[in-house]
Amino acid sequence: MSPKIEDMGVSVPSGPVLSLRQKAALASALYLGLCMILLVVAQPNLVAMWGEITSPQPTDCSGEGEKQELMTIYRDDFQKISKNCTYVETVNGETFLDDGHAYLRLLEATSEEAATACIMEREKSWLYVCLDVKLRLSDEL
Amino acid sequence: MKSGSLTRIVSELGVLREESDDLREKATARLWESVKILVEMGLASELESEILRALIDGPRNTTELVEIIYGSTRNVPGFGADYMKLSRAMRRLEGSGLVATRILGRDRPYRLTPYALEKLYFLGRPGEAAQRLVGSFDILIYLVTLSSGLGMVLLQESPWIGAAFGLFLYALGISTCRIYRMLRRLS
Repeated sequence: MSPKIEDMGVSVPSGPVLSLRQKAALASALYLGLCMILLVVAQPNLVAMWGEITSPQPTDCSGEGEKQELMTIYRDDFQKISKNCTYVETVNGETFLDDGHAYLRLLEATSEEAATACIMEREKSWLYVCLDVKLRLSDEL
Repeated sequence: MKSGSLTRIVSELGVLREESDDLREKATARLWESVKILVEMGLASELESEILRALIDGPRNTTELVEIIYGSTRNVPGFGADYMKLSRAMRRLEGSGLVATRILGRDRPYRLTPYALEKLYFLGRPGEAAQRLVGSFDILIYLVTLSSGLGMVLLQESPWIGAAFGLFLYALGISTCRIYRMLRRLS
């Protein structure tokens, strides 16, 4: 086995501490690390954006052609729906925040003829469903 | 007769002077050319150019390079000094990204990097040059990545955050590829 170079009394001189490749790797790691930090910091904003994308979008109930579905809602069904609602908007643009109040106003607004209403979800003001509500409350009552 | 000889000698001296001036100009031009080549390659000495010449044939460790360049072997008294000189030159070449060695392992021969080969290829070709390690496009794409990343943080509840996120991902992908390519050129 050949003797090691250090055994021959030769000390390897100290040149530049880092080679260009090591410097480039270090700079790249710092850059990518910074990008990851930005991504982590921006995560709440991105999650919120994703939530907005995946949530149902408000539907325009004002136009005749935009009506989603014609339903006959009976009293019990309407109570079920309205229990989950905190926000109701009629086609006339009237909004009601209170559950019971909204329910009553909706009854008033739609008891005589079919009306369109937008029923909003409890948590946010997202439109949950857009219906042509045809109430037959008088029959049930 | 005497005056004729003198005239001939003077005229010969004139020719010699003209030839000498011509030679001086040529020598100066070649000197500048050599200096330019050394500067283009980022070399500090003739030893470094000899090392590059030896590595063109294939990877070699420092001891082999000492044997090739200085012709001295381990048992020769001056080997240690030659080894030191060569190691110093190797470190400098590594520092300028022209040679590389394996990161791990006992036997770590030096080899020319693709970046060095590119520089050698374009050496002395007027108007042509090897691509820079970090070009203006790279700088632009790194800046776009960081700016769009910053935009994602700052644009809270803005419809533009989606665009910033898309741009960030796109630019990050490109910049990662550019970084990989740069590191490959130095390996």
